[in-house]
Amino acid sequence: MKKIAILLALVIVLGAGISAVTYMKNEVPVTYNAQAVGTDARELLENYEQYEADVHPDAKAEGERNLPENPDGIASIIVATDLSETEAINDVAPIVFDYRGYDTMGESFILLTAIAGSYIILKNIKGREEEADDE
Amino acid sequence: MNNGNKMKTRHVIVKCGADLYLPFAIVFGLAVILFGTVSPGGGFQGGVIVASAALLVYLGHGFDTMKSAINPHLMHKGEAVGAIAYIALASIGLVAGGNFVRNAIWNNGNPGNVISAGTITYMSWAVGFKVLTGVAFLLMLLISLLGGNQDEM
Repeated sequence: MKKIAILLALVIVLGAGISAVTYMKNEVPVTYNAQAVGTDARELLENYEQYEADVHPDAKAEGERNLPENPDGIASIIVATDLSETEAINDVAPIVFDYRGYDTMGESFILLTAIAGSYIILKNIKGREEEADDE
Repeated sequence: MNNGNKMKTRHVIVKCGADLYLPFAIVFGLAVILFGTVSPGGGFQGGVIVASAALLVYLGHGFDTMKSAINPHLMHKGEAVGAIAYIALASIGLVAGGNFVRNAIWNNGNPGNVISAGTITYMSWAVGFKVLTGVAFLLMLLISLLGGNQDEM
């Protein structure tokens, strides 16, 4: 009975995975749309001399933030499309939890495994010391 | 366990300093977690700030008070609960037809509110809870097993 339940659960998980793979093969979900801002990321990568990274002269004269007037690149694409796609007003939050969500998941699971492993190792050391004290 | 160093008296300045900064650490850390998506900060940073309150309890009042105030096994289970909550919230993106960690239910509130960015907000809270409990458990583990105090956990 237990083996049948485990087999059923595995089959369900496998079916869900296969359906997800076929769905994502048919229509790949777009994480961010670079064409909507007017800058093509691949074109910029190939012709990187076209980057508009010059500092605006007025901003530098007034001592304000030394930012280009119309910057190109991936960062400007994310900054421009972030609010319409995720409604997060702080640009770092969707990068940490949406665009780079796997990264955050890996970090937190590193913490989980590190704490569990150190718990096991330190408990064993402590138990051995107590046994030595008893003898 | 009748060790001599167990009843070591602590200086009154250390005690009063720990008592003074304990509520600020907890409230400030919880605020950093809560406003993680609309402010500088986030789950990781706020969780570590709240977990430092456990260290303040130890510095001011010793390990016995810390052990009676914080249940370490509850902390260890709470970390797993936070991890499961992160995975579950990230799976909402799959159900909504996107990537694994895609932001799904974001039509709630105006941009700039605390609850406005959909699953990003809840995932930030989940990570904050996970780091809070995990780092607090790690501090208690290291103090109880490697510190000078020989108490059982």
